[in-house]
Order: sequence, then structure tokens, then C-alpha cells
Amino acid sequence: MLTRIVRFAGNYACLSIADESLLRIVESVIRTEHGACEESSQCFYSLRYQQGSGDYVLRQDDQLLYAGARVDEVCRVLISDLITTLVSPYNAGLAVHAAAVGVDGNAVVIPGTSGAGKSTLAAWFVSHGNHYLTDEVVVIDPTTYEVAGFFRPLHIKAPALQAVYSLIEERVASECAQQMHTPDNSPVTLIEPERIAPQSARDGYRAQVMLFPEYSADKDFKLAPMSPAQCAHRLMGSLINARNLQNKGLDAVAKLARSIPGYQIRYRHFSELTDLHTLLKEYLEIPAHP
Amino acid sequence: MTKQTEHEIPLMNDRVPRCAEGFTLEQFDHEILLFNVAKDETLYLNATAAMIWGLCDGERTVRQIIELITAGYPDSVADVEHDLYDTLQTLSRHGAIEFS
Repeated sequence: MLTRIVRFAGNYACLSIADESLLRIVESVIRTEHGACEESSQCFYSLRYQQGSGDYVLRQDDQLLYAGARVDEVCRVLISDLITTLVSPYNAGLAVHAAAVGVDGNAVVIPGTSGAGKSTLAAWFVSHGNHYLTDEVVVIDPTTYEVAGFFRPLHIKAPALQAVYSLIEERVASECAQQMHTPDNSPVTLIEPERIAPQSARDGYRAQVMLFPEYSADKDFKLAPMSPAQCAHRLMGSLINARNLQNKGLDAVAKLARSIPGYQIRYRHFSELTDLHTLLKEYLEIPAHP
Repeated sequence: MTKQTEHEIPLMNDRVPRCAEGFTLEQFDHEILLFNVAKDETLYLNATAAMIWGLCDGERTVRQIIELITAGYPDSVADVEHDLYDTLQTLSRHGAIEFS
């Protein structure tokens, strides 16, 4: 068995993987580290093939999470369960359903519910030379506003796929064939950020601006500042670990919303975002942290 | 937002709204977030809604609240009244005010 560690939100999980081929599958969707696993670990996953059928079998501890032939489904279940497991106990800061990118050393946090356009906007930022952190969940330190993202490939849903492909060379786009499905069976294409633009590893981004996206095919472009109260309202709707936090996270969310400016951004296609980068760079030059 | 019928509006005027218990308030300048602890639901009140909510003290009737608010907007009484009813309906629907 091969062992790997996945760390996030101050927590870690151990993966025990049957062989190299399964490891390649796992590492195509999750960033892992080498490390020793103890089977007594509270977060212990095992992935192997079922003898005879060759089906994938994924367990967390003694609980069967998936048994079946679909590689995309075993990956989806693994990612989803890992995030839940790693984030659930987190109480040192805010865990927010959000994408995030590093822009000029600062983090642009893109909170939103599923379908809001987080991944698409993150892809656009990456195509403009920025560093991809996540398109799913971030944890934000309530004091330093340092942002860490759960790294996974960009998950691009069908309606946005052509737009994202337009950011990539045709040859590369054709190689982005890894498919998944959401729980409601909508197709999702996984795209490594490196396929869009070169990425360099870096930590320590601090949240400097929040963008609340709305991808809309039939509405005009809009980039409008939001009040701290509006930002806090939206953040509360994307907060994952409210139950772990004092006052269900309201205090920490309000503090964050007062400190970090937020903007509503509504767009139909990427051409409307031409000035966004310049605009954001102007904002990012203004220190948000007193 | 639920539409009121013409029949409902006058009936509300003599009722006395009061802020419900079980909400945590976060004040942002003139705006407010109300957090329903039991439902894990956050309600955003813009400046006008926050003012209306603040007037729901369990003593004023809806009519008295209307009079207080419209005094500042004599040229748009009908619009203000309509907005106020909408706001009260929204607050009531989310359990943030109760009527007696």
C-alpha cells in the first residue's frame, strides 16, 4: 500500500492507496504529501480495487464511501468527503465556500454558492497570470486574514466550459478530458490551473478584496461596491464552519466584512472583464488592513 | 416576496409589531444583519428596513410607524407606505417581528 497525507485547515487525513495507478488517479484531483499514516488516525481513507470485479472501493475508517466502477465518482466522493472531514472541526478561523486567487501577493476571495461562477472567474484570473488557490473552499485567519485554499483542479461546469476553453490553447484544451459529475449528475470538466498558465507554489496570501460573482447570460455587466453589511450577509450564506464559531461566526464574519472591501461582479463573457485586472490592482494597492 | 392583497393592508394598520426574540443583531452604520440563531438564517436590512425594524417597539401601531416615516417623505407617501408594508411582511415572514 502507498500512503499519502492531505493537509488543510490545520487538520490532516491519511490516504492508504493500493497501487501506483490508483495513486495517479488520486493525485490528479488532490494535492498530497508523502508521509506516514497511522491506521488509528481519525481521518484514515483507503482506496483499493475490489477483488474479482476490479471496482474501486473507497473507505473512511470502517465506513464504505464508494464501491463501483466509475473513476470520476470515486474521485468526487473522495474530494467531497475529504473537504468535509478536514473542515468540519476547524474553529481557528472562517471556512468559506469560495474560490481564491493570488494577485500581486494578495488574495482575491470569490465567495459564492454552487453555480455562482466562482470557478469560471478563478480560471479567468489564472489566465491573466495569477496564482490559483482553490475553486471550492478557503479558510481565512480572523486576525491576519491569511487565506489558504483546498487545492483541487478547477471544476468547470458545462455552461462555462467553452468560455474557459477560450482561455487555453486548443491543443491543451483537447487534453482537458477529465470528467466528473456533480451529485445531481451535471457534467464537470476538471482543468489543472497549469493548463491555463504556469503556476508557482506560494503561501501566505492575505485577503485583500472579495468578489461576489454572478455569471449571467442575459444581464449587463456590473461591478459595484457592496457595503460591509451586504458582504457579511453573503459571507454568512457561504460559511461552512459556523457551528464551530462564537455566535455562529457572525462576529468574525462582520469583522472580516468591515476590513476587506467587497464587490458584486456580474458578467456574461470574459471580454467584459478586460478592465477588471487593472481596476483590482488599483484597489489592491490600498492597504485594507489598518 | 409575497404580495399583499388590497384587503390585507388596511387590516395591518392597527396592529402593533415588535421585534422578535432569538435574533442576534450586528449593526453596520445604518444597515443591520439579523441572525436567527435557531434557524441559522441571516437577514440583511438596508438603512430603511433597519429604521422600520427599530420602530417595531411593541408600542407603536403600523399606522404610527407609517406616519413617522412618511413625515420625512411628504411627496412620496404612497411609495413609502408600500415599501413599509413590504418590509414588515418580509420581517414577519422571517420571524424577525411579531404582531400583537
